[in-house]
Amino acid sequence: MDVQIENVSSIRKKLSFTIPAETVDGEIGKAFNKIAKTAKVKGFRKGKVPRGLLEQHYAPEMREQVVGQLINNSYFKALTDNEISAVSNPQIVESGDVEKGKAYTYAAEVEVKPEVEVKDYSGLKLEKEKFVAEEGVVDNKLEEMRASRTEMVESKRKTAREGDLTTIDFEGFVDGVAFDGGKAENHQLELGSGSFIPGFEEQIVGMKRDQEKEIEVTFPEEYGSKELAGKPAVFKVLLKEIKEKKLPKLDGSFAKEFGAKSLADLKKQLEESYLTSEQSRIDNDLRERMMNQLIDKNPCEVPEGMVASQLEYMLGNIRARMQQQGMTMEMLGMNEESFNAMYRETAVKQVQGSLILEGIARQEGIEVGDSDFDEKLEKIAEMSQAPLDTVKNYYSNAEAKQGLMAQIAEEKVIELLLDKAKVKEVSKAKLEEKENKEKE
Amino acid sequence: MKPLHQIIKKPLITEKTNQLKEDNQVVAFEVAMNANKVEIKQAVEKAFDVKVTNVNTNIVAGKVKRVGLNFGKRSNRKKAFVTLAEGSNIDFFGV
Repeated sequence: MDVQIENVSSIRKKLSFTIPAETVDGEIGKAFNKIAKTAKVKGFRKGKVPRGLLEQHYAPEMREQVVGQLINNSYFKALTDNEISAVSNPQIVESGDVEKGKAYTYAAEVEVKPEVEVKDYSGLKLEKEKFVAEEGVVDNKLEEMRASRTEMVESKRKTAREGDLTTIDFEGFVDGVAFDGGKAENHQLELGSGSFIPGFEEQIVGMKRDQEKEIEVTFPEEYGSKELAGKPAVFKVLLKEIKEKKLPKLDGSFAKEFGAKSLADLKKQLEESYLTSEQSRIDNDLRERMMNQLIDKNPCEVPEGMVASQLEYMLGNIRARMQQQGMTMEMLGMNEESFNAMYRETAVKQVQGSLILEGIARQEGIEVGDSDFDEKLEKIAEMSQAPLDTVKNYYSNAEAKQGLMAQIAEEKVIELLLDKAKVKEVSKAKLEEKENKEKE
Repeated sequence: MKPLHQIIKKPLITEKTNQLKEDNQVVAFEVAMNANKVEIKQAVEKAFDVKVTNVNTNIVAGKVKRVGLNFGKRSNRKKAFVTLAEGSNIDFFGV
């Protein structure tokens, strides 16, 4: 077997094969032997067709089998022998004739992972958002938490006020006749919620407990039921109960409900989570800007196969996340095709980014050792609060380990790049302004 | 003499004739009903450029077939088994 390798572009290689006649003959014989068992020709029982006739009748089938077999045997061997890491299935671009006693030649093109030569990656000029803690974030959050724990309590007041939750009986009449759906008992109505026709809730405000009153309202023109729309109506209303909203007090017991020791402790927790989320947001933004710069400076071709597998990975992620929320892609009016069209650019960028980072790691001689790996495992265990052994077990799988190793390498490279970069802190407003300009 | 294709209709290639040819130098044809052995011998010798030593013939009666209430009969056929002289050979499609 003779193989010639040619670089078509940075991401494509062409492999030309010449397979000697003896191998071809052997494969042809094997193929006919296989076909002979099931071959059918008129005048002969199944599998009893003489070789000469068989070769005439079944030449196309034989050719298909032989070509498939020869390519299978030679192609993958060539890949491992020449250490080519293919990222897509091969495309057969040329294929000669299969004939007895003749050598067979074919050529295949395959996409390979490019080795990117990265330039200008040290001393990047980056802008980092200057972190300014916003005032009142913690207090706002506390208010929100309070509102979520609102209780309704029997009011001591005698008259109903806006915002109260009332329990009422009512019966409605149009032209002195009761109408369908106009009667209810023990109906709960929040005054000021606007859930009844206009004017109704306002007239309850000021009523006393156990008071009966006739309320005159007019149905709005665009009311759902045509018979009632635009007509004046009288409602007999009995106010039974008045409840008011009561916000829980901000104190130790409130804090305990959220798992904190004291109010001060709760505040501290809220502040910390706010700080870490802001910090990671800023860091992520910085990284993204850095990657964008690198990609701009180092345009590289991306093999279609890698983009496709990246898209597949993203799709899988999104599917899983949606399933957790009990939704499907189809519910959002998306299918695989539109998803691929929408996120193609992102996928290309991500592939480029990882290729560039890989290139830098190679140029800088960054390697990930077992000690790094163990360290990362401990970190993961701590973060996910799982026992170290479970984590170790999960990553003992070769594929998972390789993925994690790549991740560690990327993190190292990013750290190095940030070390070398000139980072300038800029206020948030300025950054946003700049980004908007770029978009335009 | 009649044209050759009016005597020899087609070769019979089956497992059985294949065996006959390999063992006994006999090739089989379907021939015209009205062809006699002499005509067949001459025709085969002329058409395939071989020497013929013997010709046997037989007539295969057509099957009676029925479609609904209607009966029909397939045509009778005449088969000829031709023994070739040593050194002669007829190669039908490489068989």
